[in-house]
Amino acid sequence: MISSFALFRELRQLRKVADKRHPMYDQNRFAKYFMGFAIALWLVYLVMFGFLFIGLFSEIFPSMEPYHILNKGMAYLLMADFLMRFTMTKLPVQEIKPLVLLPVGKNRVLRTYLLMSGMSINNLIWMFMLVPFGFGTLFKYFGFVGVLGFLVGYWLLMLMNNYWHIACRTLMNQHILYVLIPIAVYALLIVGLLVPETNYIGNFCMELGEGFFLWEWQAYLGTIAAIVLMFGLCHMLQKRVVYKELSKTEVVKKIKKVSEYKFLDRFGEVGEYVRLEIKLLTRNKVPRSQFYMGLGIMLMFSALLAFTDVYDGTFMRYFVTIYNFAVLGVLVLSQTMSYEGNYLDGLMSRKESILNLLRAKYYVQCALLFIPLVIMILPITEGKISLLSALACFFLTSGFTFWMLMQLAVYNKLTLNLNTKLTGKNSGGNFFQTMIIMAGFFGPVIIIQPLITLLSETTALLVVLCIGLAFTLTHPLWLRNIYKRFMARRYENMEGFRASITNN
Amino acid sequence: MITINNLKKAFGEKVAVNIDNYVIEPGTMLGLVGNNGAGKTTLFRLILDLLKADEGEVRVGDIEVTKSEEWKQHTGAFIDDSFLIDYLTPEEYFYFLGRVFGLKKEEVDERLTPFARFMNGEVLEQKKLIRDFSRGNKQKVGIIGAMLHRPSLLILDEPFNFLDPSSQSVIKHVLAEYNKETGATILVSSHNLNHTTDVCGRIALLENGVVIRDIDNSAHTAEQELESYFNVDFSVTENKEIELDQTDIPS
Repeated sequence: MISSFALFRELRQLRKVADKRHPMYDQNRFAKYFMGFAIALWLVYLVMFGFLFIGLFSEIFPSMEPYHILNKGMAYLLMADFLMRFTMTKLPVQEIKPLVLLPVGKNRVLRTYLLMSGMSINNLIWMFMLVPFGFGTLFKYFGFVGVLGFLVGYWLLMLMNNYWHIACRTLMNQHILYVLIPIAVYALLIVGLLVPETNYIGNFCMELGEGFFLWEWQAYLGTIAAIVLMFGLCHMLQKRVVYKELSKTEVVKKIKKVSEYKFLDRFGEVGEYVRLEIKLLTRNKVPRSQFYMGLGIMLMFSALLAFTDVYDGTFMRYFVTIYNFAVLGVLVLSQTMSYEGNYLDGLMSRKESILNLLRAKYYVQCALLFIPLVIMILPITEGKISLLSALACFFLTSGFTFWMLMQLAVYNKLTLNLNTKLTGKNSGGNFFQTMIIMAGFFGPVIIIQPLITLLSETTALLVVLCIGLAFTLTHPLWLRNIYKRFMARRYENMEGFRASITNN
Repeated sequence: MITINNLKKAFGEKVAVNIDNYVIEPGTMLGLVGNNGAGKTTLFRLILDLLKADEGEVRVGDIEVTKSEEWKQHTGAFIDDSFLIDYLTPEEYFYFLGRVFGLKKEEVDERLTPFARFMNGEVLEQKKLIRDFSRGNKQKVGIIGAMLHRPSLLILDEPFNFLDPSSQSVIKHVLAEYNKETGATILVSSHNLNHTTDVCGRIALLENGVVIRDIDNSAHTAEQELESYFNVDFSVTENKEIELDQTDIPS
């Protein structure tokens, strides 16, 4: 029988390889570097917070040492850590499937995975903040040993939080209502911290933290006991759900009403692809949630623009207006062909279907532009922007911005899962895509701003309107050009789509 | 007629397709057989212009497939799930295909009728999206979708996969009938030698991307030849084992 250490080593190797060979990173070096950059940036922020909190706490609470304040607010840190783990913690029970028939007990595998998660480097992330903070506040009083005690203590707390998170996630995977457990726990902790008369929790946390840097055995013993308890809870819960997880099947929902959008029949083949595009946007989780997100952003910006003075400057006023018009298009058109990558072979085996698809995408996005136009009535009626500027932005988006975004149809070559959320490894963004998105948001403002400086605002807006109309009216030409360039690159793109379809 | 000239495709070191000259006459029902990695699907993808050939060309009729899309109007294919738009219901998918190929709703309904037995009441009116169907029923949707516009060239990769025995039997008859009625050229790849030899009048045996045997199966005699071909290694291994056993016996 394989030894526990060997099993640990094998499973760790498996996980390492799985992460390293994730198809999104395999296909997309930019995403890999971008993630690395984002993580590095986050770590730098943590170091900055470490230094920042020293000064901030001494300024706000001059009668107390900064480490007392941090210890008192321990619950906030644990809550932040709990939330952060949603993006990086894998549940052992989700990884056990390929190993379940091996002659190694399921429980042993589960235990090993739990141990692995305890030894994960993720539990050390907060050290980037705590090390500078500890040396900046504790070193002068308690020396290196004190700082070490403080760091070890917090590491143990993160371990406990790791198992608490896994336990909660295991339950939440069974039923979403279990999300109420961590919400209730953290709400109680925060209420306990905010009620000044009792403040048992704040005082307890402060004493626990003090126990760490003073190396009091009770503090460590208590924390270790909590870790053991959470580990046991995790193990028990994972054991209970392992069979459920192994036989997990998606519940198939029957469609109540099949919409036919009959009015589209009169538009022939393009109408058929418009119908397809509408169904793509409404029947799949990712585009649907993107739509709601875009709508939320639009409403928020419109309200801010209409009822506050935060965007009253010319640049910000136009930036927000453009943003509102462009946001839905940016969210969907920046992924042009990446969603279709799921069934591209089928589309490619029909004559000119890609051209009709591109036309349909363009028309749907143009129709969706009426949503921000309606939403922008709010700032228009409040006198924050003129109707002319709304119309100019409308046509600049339907012309210039969409022209730019749809160029991505030629260059996108990673299939995106239509029903897995667009986070982390399913984002599939590449350098070119990021640049185009930035240009989609900032390009129009870069056009408008100098025109307003050079000409009167009305004249500038009329020029912008003309530019927008020119791009909009010539869409059959530039869409055909995009189609031709797509066809010229089709083999390279299809290979990319095919390679990423099976694994995402 | 499909004409393949000097067609080559390699993935790194591995040669997937290497065919000098091969002609498939109109109305032929060709079965493509070979072990995994023999190049069957790659050949289909090359014929359908879904992959770029390293060298050579494929012609459907007079048209070189990479140069024009005209041939697509008369071609139907189902290789895998990437041909299915899985957020549609089967009906929506069929109507979508129908409209793209210029068929009215009524015509689509009419053309679905002969597939009633094949669908076995499990495909239409289920109020489910294609992605929620079983593999077998997805396969049925894909096959029907490929045949809906009555193509003169039909390409099906592993059509018997995932189908229950009754459906396998039905689709064999459907394909044979379709070939007889329309005179369409049908290319079918399969690991199932029985099914392939049952319906195909010509069998191409592929190995390492090369057509190593082109068998006339009009008299249904190919099965034996194929059986013996695929059993070669097995019999060699068997003989070796016997020899080894004999050497173990003390003289």
